Amino acid sequence: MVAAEVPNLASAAEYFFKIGAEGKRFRPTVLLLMATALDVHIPELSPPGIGDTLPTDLRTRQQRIAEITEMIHVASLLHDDVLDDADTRRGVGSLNAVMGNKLAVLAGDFLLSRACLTLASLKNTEVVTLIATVIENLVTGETMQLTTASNKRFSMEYYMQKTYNKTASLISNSCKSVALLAGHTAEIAMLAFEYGKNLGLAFQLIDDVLDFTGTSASLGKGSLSDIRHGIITAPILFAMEEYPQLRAVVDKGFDNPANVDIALEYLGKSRGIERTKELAMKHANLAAAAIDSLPQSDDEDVIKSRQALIDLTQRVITRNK
Amino acid sequence: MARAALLHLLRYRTAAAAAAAEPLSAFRCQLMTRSNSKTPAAGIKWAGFCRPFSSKAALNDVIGNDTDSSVAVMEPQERVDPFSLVANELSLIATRLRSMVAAEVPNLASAAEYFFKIGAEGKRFRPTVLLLMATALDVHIPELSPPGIGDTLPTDLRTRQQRIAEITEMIHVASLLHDDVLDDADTRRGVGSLNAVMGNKLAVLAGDFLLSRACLTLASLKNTEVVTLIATVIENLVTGETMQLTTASNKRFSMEYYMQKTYNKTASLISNSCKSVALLAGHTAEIAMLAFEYGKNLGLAFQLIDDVLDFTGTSASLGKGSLSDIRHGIITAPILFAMEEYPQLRAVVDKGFDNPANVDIALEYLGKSRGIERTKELAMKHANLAAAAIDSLPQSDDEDVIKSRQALIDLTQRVITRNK
Repeated sequence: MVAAEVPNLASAAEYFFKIGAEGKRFRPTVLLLMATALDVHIPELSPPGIGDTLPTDLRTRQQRIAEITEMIHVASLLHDDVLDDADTRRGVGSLNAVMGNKLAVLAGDFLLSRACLTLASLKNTEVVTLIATVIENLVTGETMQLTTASNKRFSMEYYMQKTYNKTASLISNSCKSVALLAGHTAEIAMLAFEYGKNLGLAFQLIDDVLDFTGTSASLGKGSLSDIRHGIITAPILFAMEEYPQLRAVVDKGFDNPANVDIALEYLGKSRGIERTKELAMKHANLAAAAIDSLPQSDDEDVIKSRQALIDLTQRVITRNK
Repeated sequence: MARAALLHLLRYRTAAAAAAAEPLSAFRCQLMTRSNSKTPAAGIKWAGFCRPFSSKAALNDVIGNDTDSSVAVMEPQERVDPFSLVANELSLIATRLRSMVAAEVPNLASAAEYFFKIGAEGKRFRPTVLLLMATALDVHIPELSPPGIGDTLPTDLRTRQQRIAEITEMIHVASLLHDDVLDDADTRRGVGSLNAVMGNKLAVLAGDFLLSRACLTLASLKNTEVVTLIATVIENLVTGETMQLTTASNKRFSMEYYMQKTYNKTASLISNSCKSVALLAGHTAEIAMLAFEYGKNLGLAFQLIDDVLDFTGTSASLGKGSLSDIRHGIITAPILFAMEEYPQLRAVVDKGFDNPANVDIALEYLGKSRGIERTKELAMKHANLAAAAIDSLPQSDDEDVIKSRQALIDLTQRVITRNK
């Protein structure tokens, strides 16, 4: 799907699959499990003799949602990476550098356009609306993160809204899309949405914790990267509630490593990490509750998928990388 | 200064050539009068419009010294400025766009302002084409409907077609924003202020934001064929931009590759949005295809003249500065044609154009060749194809329809006679 006529775009697509492999394909996993959990069987498990091809077709369409979701996710990563690269390429002005940035922006656009084309092929305008909303939310979330001068970045409410936009919106709206494609009621679609939303929020909150507590070997992106980039996350926000003087430290910015140490000291004294974990567990439980609220089913595959989805909510909060 | 002399030479050569370039325009006028023979009253008007390029007018038009080329070419009796025909609607669209791109986050809103600066500068060419096309295909502007007809459907359809114009502008500006980021990346080398990084980041994000708003608006139309067409446009824009980047490939010396790139970068948006306008109105595949052909040929003609103007225009009128394509190593139609006549020019192009002396050498070859003239001829060919597409639309006696179609044809001429 991402093969392009132009070879350079194709190389960018390879990057796409590298990322997909590294990420354990978390989002598609959630979506495919959700599809089964909502009573739509994996085709080869259908009892023989039932000749109705509609479930297969539906399953394929739901798989498309997974593909679309990954394309949008990687497109946003590519764009974000461009801008980080812009930082580190300051003063290094090789043409290769510019072509790298340009291709990354273009590759992101390319993936977005392929996502739109795939969306169109589903012929479901409600789903198109949901996914278009996701793209807008991603942008808004990223922009919210950029408004470093604003006092809003000290607000937990703002932070949760930003986190929803940046992380949870994609999973929640694609879960909802999976339900809508299957023709489910608004209530069931909303339960799917709630699962995705709470799962996404829990995921990000633990991500924030791991940025402080994890090892660089397990995290991959390096410990303390948020704070070094001046990104204020939940643990610090909670710590600031207990120690208002931490706010002045944060205001100074974190280009000076000594300031990072001061902030960490406050964080250690506070219950910031614990409260973040508690909040993550609250959201994980809400996600599990959404699955439990689905209409009863005796189908073994359905039961297994729902259990797997609940299992994921636990993995998300107990993981260490 | 050698370069000024070279450009001067180019301008006069093209003027002289145009004076002799009768056949194509004469043919076009024949076409127009023939197709309108069934409506005598209209035919009379059209014959008046149909004056072929006299040498004097052509000289002015081609050099581009004329301030109002339409007056030079056409009889003024029933002249309608294409832009004024849809001025009210354009304001409406501009207002809606402004509210559509209003964002919760103030920084995004500033990027949206940029959006409207660009829109104002560009004379809103694309929306004008689309609104004219909508009327040309028999869908009236609502306030002109006779009173008493209570059917709100045409209004609704018109609104939906206006959405296509809004979507088109959003996608166009999104692509500009992304392109600008990367040019800015060049000029910000070594200047690493946070503002610079935020500027780039916001531009990329603003482009994404506009794309997402375009997708949302698309979704609201509830027409998946249109969604597919517009999504194809976005893909074509990306592919075209990437084709332009493959500077190491020999393909950039190929006219075919160039035309494909030009279609992707410029014509695809106009062609597919014209087609979308037709599809929303429920027209047949044939009519939708004619709308597509108009947009496509108009877009190609537009870009070809753009290429010419980059060599021959003044920097005051171009805005982006003369010779910017070649200085950026972008090989356009005039140079491609010149390379066919002078293969040694290829070696010059291979060396690249960081050295201004190399630019002068290339310009010298270009001046000796028929590169500029052949590009203009190709532009005219496409302009005529666009006009022919309009002429092929089913006959209509409706005055608004006739006026809009005339305006669309008028645009094909403006596109190739403009000097900025």
